[in-house]
Amino acid sequence: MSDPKLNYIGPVPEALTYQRPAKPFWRKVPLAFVIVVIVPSVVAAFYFFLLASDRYVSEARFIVRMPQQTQPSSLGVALQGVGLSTGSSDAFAVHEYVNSRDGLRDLSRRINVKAILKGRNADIFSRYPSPWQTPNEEDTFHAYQKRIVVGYDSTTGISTLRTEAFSPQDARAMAEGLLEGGEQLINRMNERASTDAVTNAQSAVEQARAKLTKAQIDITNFRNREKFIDPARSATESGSLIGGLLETVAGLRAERAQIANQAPQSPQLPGIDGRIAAYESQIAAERAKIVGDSGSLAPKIADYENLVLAREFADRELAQATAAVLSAQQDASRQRLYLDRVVNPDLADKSTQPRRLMSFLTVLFTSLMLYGVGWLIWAGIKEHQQT
Amino acid sequence: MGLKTISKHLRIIGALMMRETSTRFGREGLGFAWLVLEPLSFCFGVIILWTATKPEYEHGIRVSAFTMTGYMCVLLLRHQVTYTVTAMPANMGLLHHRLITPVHIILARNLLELGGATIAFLVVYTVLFCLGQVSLPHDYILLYSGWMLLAWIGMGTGLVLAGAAMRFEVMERLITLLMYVLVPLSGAFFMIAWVPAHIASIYLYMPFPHPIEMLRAGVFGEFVPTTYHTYYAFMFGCALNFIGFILIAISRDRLDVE
Repeated sequence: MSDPKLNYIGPVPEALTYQRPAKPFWRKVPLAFVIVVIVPSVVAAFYFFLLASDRYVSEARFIVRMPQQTQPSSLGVALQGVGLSTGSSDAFAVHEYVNSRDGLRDLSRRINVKAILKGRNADIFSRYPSPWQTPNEEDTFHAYQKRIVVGYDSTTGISTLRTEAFSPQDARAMAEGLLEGGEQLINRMNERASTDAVTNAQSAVEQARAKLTKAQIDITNFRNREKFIDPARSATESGSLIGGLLETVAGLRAERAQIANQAPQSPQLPGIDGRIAAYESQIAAERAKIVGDSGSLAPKIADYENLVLAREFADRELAQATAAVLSAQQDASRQRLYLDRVVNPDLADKSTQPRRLMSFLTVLFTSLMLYGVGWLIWAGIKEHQQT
Repeated sequence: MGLKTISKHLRIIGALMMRETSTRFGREGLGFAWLVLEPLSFCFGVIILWTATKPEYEHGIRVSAFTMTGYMCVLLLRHQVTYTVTAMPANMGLLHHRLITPVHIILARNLLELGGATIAFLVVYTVLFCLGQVSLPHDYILLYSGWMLLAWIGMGTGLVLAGAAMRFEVMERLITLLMYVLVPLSGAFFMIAWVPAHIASIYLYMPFPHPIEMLRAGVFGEFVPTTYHTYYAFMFGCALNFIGFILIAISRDRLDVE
């Protein structure tokens, strides 16, 4: 280090100018930066650029709609933009189904979902089950959920279904299977709605028929009990009988008045008087039959008319219920909800997932941001603690 | 050599940032934490208020998540503009140092505001995520670029206003007013998709809604309709920064140095 021959006494020139050998640039990088930014970025780059296996995306678009029952007015068309009412809640039913265990179960019945999730030569991190996973239903479901995207565009009413797999055929098979499952769900909803409508209408018919039968029996019982067919007609008959009797009485009175005028002492008069009295008592008796005490005809007419009214109502109800059954059956015969495919699942010819550069940049920028934030906090705390 | 120059400038900016934290917040009490706590408390206050007065979902987005994205953006914008405008008058004395230029001062303040707002955003996001109010971002890169673009435009706006304030006395009075106008103009509390198309097309001439919509697209994903033109907003920001720095450079002599 030091020169054996001393020909200069004083500080070492290097010490005066503070020239130390320049540290290589990588020694100047703070350790925290290495840990927070460089290591994760290198790992991410290694994984995303070298290891990660290609995934293929299959995209389908569909719309759940119901044909408009009534022709919308031109204003309605102008306001809606389209003549179809999109059943958005029905679309959401399909979304929920696709994202549910039911959807996975139905899909597993059609295709081997587990084999698709496993992939033939997928890398160990993206395949299922990965080394630290034990294959169970819960994890399968989560792995499945990671591979599907379903969303609804509220401006167009069109839903998007996107599936990912390690081969384009698998992705398309998944999308196809899910769409078919969704269609079946819609069909089940249709069927349920229409059979419900028909059974409801039919039970209404049964009830109406029972009511009508009861009303008929009530009328028959009434007739048997009171021993006449139609109290109104009996009343009319009694009325005309009373009319006839009154006429006879009037004739007799006229006759008696004439005799009394011509021969006041005629022996015929007592006889005529007797007959008049007899007729009048007969009239009183007939009148009592129609109105008067409890046995009379008037309250019975009211009862009878109530019964007839009940029968008429039951009759009308039955007619309506029968018509409802007919229309319900007609509705059931035509489908109400449709799952229409706007775009069929496509067969990707190029892998689009994972987005290698973007994923790497995500890791890089996230770690940079965390480092920056951490530096600011740490420096701030250090600054704050200084006295 | 280039690396050395960059690290020199970075050291200056870093030192200025540290100076800024201690002069602004002092060494007593919570100090530096206010940089984060202030926007945080504002944000939670607004979220609580909005959650109480509005339905849980509006246009298919959770109110708290929507408020968060909007309010954090307004905070960043407002702080950047406010502190950039006061940057030069407050730090004029520092220009006696040969190494320090106005660019350093302005960058230091803006970076500090960006950092504080980012920390606040992170904390609010984490809390809301733990509460199940918001899911993880769908596109991180879009979220970051939106945030950075907003900061870029915010800095440009601040610079232009600062330059104008140095040149014309009236501007100092007007800036408070302009800050209030900026809140509705920024589009932080509604989305372009809710606005009728003919208004939106005019409205999108403003640079502010673009980064905010980008940020929302990054958080909410593709199924929430968003509209933005990154290039337009970026160029607008460039123009603002350019004009701002020129304004400051030519107005520098108008400030009295104590």
